[in-house]
Order: sequence, then structure tokens, then C-alpha cells
Amino acid sequence: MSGAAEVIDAGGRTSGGAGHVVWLLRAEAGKLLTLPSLWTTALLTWAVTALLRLVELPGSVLVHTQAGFLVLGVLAAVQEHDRGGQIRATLLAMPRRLPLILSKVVVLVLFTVPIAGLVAVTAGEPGGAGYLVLVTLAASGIGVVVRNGVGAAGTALGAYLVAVPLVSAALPDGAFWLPDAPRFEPAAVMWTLTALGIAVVVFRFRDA
Amino acid sequence: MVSLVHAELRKLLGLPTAWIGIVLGLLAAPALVVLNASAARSAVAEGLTQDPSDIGFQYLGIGLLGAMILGVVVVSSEYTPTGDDTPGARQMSATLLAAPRRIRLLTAKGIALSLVTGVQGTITAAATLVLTEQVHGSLVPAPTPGRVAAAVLYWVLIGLLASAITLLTRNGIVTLAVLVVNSTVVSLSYLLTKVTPWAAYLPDIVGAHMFLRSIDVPVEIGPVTAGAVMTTWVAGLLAIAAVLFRRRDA
Repeated sequence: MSGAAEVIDAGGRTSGGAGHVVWLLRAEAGKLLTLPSLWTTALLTWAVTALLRLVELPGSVLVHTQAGFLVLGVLAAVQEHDRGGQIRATLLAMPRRLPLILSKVVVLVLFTVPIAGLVAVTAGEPGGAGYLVLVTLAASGIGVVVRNGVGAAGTALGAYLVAVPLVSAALPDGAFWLPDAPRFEPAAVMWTLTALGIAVVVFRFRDA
Repeated sequence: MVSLVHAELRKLLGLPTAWIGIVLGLLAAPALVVLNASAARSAVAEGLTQDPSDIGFQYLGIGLLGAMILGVVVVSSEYTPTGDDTPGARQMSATLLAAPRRIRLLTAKGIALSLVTGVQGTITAAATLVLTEQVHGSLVPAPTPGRVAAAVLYWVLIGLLASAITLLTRNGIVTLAVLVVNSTVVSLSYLLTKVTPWAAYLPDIVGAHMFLRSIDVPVEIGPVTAGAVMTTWVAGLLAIAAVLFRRRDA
């Protein structure tokens, strides 16, 4: 008995440590990349961006197509909480919640970076890719907290597309504190870190 | 039919998300009147406002989010899985068991939704316009009853439009994304009018002509034409959605 316990202990702390992380990331990547809705959203976002660029829409195209990335983040986060409560099976396999949610974030970043790059280049604003990754992560944070797809999408879209432009128009002095699409600025980073921070704390302490 | 409408009303008003839509729709426009008061006043003083009678009415366009949310949830709630352990079971199965005639069911849903959004739109329009008069006084001309009625009609039609799109996509997120992108401060359809004048006939832009006077689009559209075009859009989309709803498995 004691021998078996030592093996597990040793495996968890030494050679198994790095392997553990790799397996965790692989599992999360597998779940994320096999979601048809994510690929559909990414494809639609890219297509709409290309279309808007083609008709030479005045102003930034990414201001509008960031909606696709907000939806992407929400879908990635709520998929385990929707239909059938897959999150319980996940937590049974991986009860340590902090490594779990951190690996979810890492996988989502890895998934989003190439798509954001492609969409930003298509829009002719390559500098906007970082901003798109940030809003995706912020939306996934909202998704983890709200857990309901429609509710989370409404919150994320309402915040970034309605509330932010309205508030920044009414209070020009507060512009520093508001994300200004599609710029990679401190405010956008701050919003994302806040959303992710709340999500991590909520995910750690709330019943699944 | 009355009992069917009654059932749909109770289902709609029993949804927490619907109440978010109701409260948001009621509060957003009056709140904006107060928040934007000084900006609007200086815009009039500097001659930037083309038609001061639009002040007040233009805030109703933001409150529309509430009507959109109501239109989305009245349909999407039926397609949400009922329990965590029964992902295949949707409320729609129970609804269709109780009311198998699908077109009658849809009609009842439409009436229930229109009742809620109609009452919401009337209260919001009245509150917004009274508040505008309090805040701005004689700066803003008194609204004519026809324009108020047109604004309420726009409100109801947007709710129905949202429910038609949701019925087609069976997915609330897609509809919300499309409609929210289009109701942003500088909306996508508005920008498209800069590309092609035909975009002025997209439902949300054309509908706004019913009650706003100073929309900067390349074509001139009268209020009655605007109402007719938008009603046609909504009726057409509802008809397509109804046909699909009848023929598809629930």
C-alpha cells in the first residue's frame, strides 16, 4: 500500500509533472478543436471580414468583426457547461481546477492567435490581431462566469459593442480606461485580465 | 387561441433573461436622455443637430436592444436543453405536444411577443419623450403622435424580426451577434449605405425613417414607405421561418 502511494507521489512531483501538463493541454486542445461551432464561427468571421473589406467599408472593419471573436470566446467557455454538463466529467478526470482553467486559457490562445492573425491581415489591419485575441479571452472569462451561451454572448457583445462606444462618446475623459477597438492598448489588456481573473476565482470556488 | 397566447405570455414572462430584456429596454433610452443632455444641448447650440425634434427619438434606437433580447429568448428558450442530464430534451417537444398545430403556435408566440414589446415600447417612448421635454424644454419641438406610434411600431417589428431570425438559425447567439453588431453606435447597415445606396433599404435603417428625420443616407425615404418596406421585411422573414418551422423536425 505504502509503495503504491509513493509511486503516485513521485510521479506527480518529478518526471510526471511536465508530462501531466502536456496531457492536460492535449486533452483540452482535443475538446476545443473538435467543436464544429468554433470552426464555423471562425470561418464566418473571416468571410464577413473579407466581404466588408471587399466593399470598402469606411472605417475599421475589425470594429465590427470583433463580434465574431467575442462569440468564439463565449462558445469555447460555455461548451462544457451547456448540454449534458460535460464539465463534471472533466472535473472527475482533472479535479485540480486551477491547472485545468489555466490550460483552457493557454489552448484558447493557441487556437485564436492564427485565426486572429488571418482575420486581421484580411481586414488590412495586421496590428489588430492582438486586440482580437484579447477580446476572445475576455469573452471566454465572461462565458465561464455566466455559463449560459445566450446570456454570456449578450453580455460580451453588449459590453464591447454597445456600452464601450456609448460611454466613450459621453465621457471623453475616460477614454484611457476603455478598450478602443482594434488597438492593442493597456485598457484592452486590463479588461481581459479582469475578466479572466474573475473567471479563475469563480471557477475555483463555485460548484460545477 | 386566447389560452395559447396566455400560455406563451406566461412562458415568456417566466424567463429571467426576458426580464433582463424588459428592464434594459425600459431604462436604457431614458437614462441616455439624462446622460447625454449636455452633449445634445451643445450640439444644438453649435448647429450640429440637423433636426432637434430627433433628440429623444434617437435614444429609442439603443433601448431597442431590450426588444431584440425578448424576440430572441421567446424562441431560443424553447430550443435550450431542459436539463443537464437530458441534452436531447428541449422545451419545444413539450410545447408541441400541448399545441401540435405549428402555425397557430407561432401566431400565438408572435402575438404574445408583440404584446410585451408593444407595452414596453409605449412606456419607454412616453418616458423618454416626457423626460426629453423636462430636460430640454422648448429646445426640442413637441413630438407628434404619429411619430410616437411609428417608434412603437418599429420597436414591435424589431422584436418580431429577432424572433424570425432566431427561428431560422435556432440559435440565440447568432441572432444576438448579428443584431447587436447592427445596433452599435455606428451601425454596420448604416456604414453599408456609404457603399451602396440600396443598403438604406435594410430593415433596421429603413425602419428608422418612420420616426427619425435626419438620417444621413443617400436616398430619400418617406415615413409611410419606410413602414411598408420594414413590415415587408419582417413579414417575409417570418413567412420563411414559419414554413421551415412547419417542415423541420422540432
